Amino acid sequence: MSCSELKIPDSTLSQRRLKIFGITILNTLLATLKWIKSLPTDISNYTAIASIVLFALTFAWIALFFWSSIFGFLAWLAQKKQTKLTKSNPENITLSTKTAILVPVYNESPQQVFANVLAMAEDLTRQGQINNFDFFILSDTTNPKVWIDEEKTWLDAKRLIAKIVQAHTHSSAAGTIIPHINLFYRKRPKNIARKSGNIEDFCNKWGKNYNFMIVLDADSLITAQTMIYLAKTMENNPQAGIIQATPLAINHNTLFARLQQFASKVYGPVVAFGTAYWQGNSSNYWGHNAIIRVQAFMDSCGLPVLKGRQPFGGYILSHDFVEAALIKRAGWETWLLPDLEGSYEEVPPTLIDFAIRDRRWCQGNLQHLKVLFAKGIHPISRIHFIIGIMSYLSSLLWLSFLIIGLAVALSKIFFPPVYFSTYKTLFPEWPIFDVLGTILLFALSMSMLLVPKFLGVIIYLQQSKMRIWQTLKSVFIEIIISSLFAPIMMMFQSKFIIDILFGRSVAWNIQSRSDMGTSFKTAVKRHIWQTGLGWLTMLVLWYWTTNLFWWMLPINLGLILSIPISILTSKVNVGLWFKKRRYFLTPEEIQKPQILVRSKHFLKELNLNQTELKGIKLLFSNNLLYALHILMLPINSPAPEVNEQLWESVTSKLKNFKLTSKDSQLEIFDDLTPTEELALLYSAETLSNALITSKLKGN
Amino acid sequence: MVTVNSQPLAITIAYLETLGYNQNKAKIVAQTVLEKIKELCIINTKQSVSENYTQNDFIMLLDSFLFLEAKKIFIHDKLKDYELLAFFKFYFILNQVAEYYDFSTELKQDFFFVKDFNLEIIPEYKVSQMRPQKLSSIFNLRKLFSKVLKK
Repeated sequence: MSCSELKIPDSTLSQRRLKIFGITILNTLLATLKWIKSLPTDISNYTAIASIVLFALTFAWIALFFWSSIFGFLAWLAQKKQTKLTKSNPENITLSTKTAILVPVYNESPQQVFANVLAMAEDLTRQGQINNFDFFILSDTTNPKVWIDEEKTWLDAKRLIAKIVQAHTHSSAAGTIIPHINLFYRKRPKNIARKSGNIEDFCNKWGKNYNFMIVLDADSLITAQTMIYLAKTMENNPQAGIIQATPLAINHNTLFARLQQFASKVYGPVVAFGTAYWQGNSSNYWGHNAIIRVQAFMDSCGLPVLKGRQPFGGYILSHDFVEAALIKRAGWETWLLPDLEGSYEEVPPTLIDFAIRDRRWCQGNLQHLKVLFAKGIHPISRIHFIIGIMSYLSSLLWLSFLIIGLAVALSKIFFPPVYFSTYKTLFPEWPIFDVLGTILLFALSMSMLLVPKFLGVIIYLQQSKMRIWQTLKSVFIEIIISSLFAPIMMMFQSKFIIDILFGRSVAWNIQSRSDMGTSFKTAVKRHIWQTGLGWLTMLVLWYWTTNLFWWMLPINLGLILSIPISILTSKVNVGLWFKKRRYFLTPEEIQKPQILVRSKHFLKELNLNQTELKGIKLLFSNNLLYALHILMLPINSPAPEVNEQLWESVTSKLKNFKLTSKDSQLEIFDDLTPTEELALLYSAETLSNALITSKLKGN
Repeated sequence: MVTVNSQPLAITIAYLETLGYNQNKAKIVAQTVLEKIKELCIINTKQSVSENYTQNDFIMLLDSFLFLEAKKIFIHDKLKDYELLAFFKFYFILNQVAEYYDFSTELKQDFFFVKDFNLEIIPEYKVSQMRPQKLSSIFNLRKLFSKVLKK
């Protein structure tokens, strides 16, 4: 198999960048000039300047997205004739390198994580390439119950691996071929520097054993074909430091998630082709579903702790962009493969989960202001940082733009125009406002936002053979719903930025991946202020300036309806209702990818062994698991420091327990707080003593 | 003469239960184990299993006894003593050795063989150190501002 040679001449890349940025700047300039001409003549200079600056910035943002998509579409047309990247048979590939597949986890559902890993391991075994890949579950889990569950699930997964090995062991003339599936597990006692620290810890301990590492998220799934392709492409391109595969969103059934999955499938390729077109060998790294040259990473991607206090100082949160910039600075290339299939991820199932993740990402991206001007960084890497910052800042800019517009409109009510100035003149000063000009600019902005979507539809229809009418109906509704989401996210993101500017940092929250839905209480708690603002603006506009009322209606409607929108889109049955009527249907929903089917099978198998007991109670009820925990302790050590007071509390609770019945022997551990339970789990001696004591009491 | 009070016996039974012995069998096997421990104590330290032993001491004594058994089965230079013992206990339980073995005879290596089961938790370390990179700014914003303010 000939895996692609990643090469674009520098001159071609320069031309592409010149084209994209040249047109974007020109487009922005012309639109801004039109805006300047359209501005009312009776507003103050300060207001006019603020309005022009905000217009230019928000328009430039839209223009870059638009032109990038246009060129992405053209790039797709040019590449259409070539074969798909993963169509070749991976059995014919001989890999001469070893790749580690890293799955960093933080208080995730172990069953889901291991089910995904088993599906990938089985796929690699089926392709006869498993011996070139090792899996590492790198746990940063802090919840003692999840920790023990991870150990148990690792053991269950090892048993299932034995079955996979048995099924794929075969005899040939050369002898019996036994696949070796290596699934390693370790838990870090202290999760220093979060995910980037977790990966760094892997590199420091085992990095030298591997040529490449494929970094995944807890919910990532990549087919064997794609992983083999990535490894082979790395082998064929010794200058490549990172190759990013575009992950496709799959697997959830809430309406919110299905909308995102549909958008990722339909609009994703045109965006990916666009960015790959002008970024070329300086593409970005998204933190997962990518292959990395380990030595290059180790030599150039050690992250410093940024000076100053959080949220701008401290550990780098959005490490991926910085790592891409650092590896590029060291002379390596970073590539995005927009046409590579077989790479999947999950999206937050609800609007609120999405916003929670966005809060973290917002802080991470704003933190990049501190590295934006770092020495030696490639200009395109700086543009990655700016794009990341603008992804969030644009919301605040848009909000400010709207506020200025509103203020100008209201000022006309309260401060009527002055037709005759203080100096004597024969002619009145008529305030001029170019309504047609602003409508034209509005129409232009809207079409620049919508055209890329329809270009995406063309690619989608060509690639997936879905029905045109069905797709267009879905796109139409998706546009309406996402227009309602937009003001909600604008308010969320603006609040996040203000919070961050006021020095409020974000905690490392566990990412929700379940389709549980949003309760009324939670929705009210999160959206009440948006609803209130929506009503207030609506009433003010209705009372004083009815014209603007209708213009602002789509924005206000989103805010006013934020609570019901958030609840309804979080429901699985609503998502399934649309699915039944073939709305937002993706080919992956019609025919599930085989790797997803296998992951669900393994999840079912792993769930068979679930018990109600958790944490230390599970450990003490299962001798084998207890022995395994003790066996793993030296790997998962050194134990975090425990202060004397906490330790005294643990020991006194263990000493003073009273048993009421034989069956309740494990209930003593209910009194332990999570911190106490964690401390106890790290102490082999105390655990052993506690176990014997619990048995003695039980006997 | 060594005297063993009821507490070590109870601890031994509980200890054996953690290795997969059911309560009835543990009661029988515990006697054998205790006899062996008594012998060991006399041979190795010339001390007896006394009533002064705390629960923790006695568990350690049982661990030491089991460690000697482990060494007969697993020859592993790279493992530390406590790791070897943990390894032994794990395989003891995994293979349900408690069903066939009562410590009165020689422990067989066959008991510990599990087909297709690879317990390697992590590969051996190959330690290196990623160095934090410098991300100093091309211009010092603070200096720049102070210059502007001074002017």
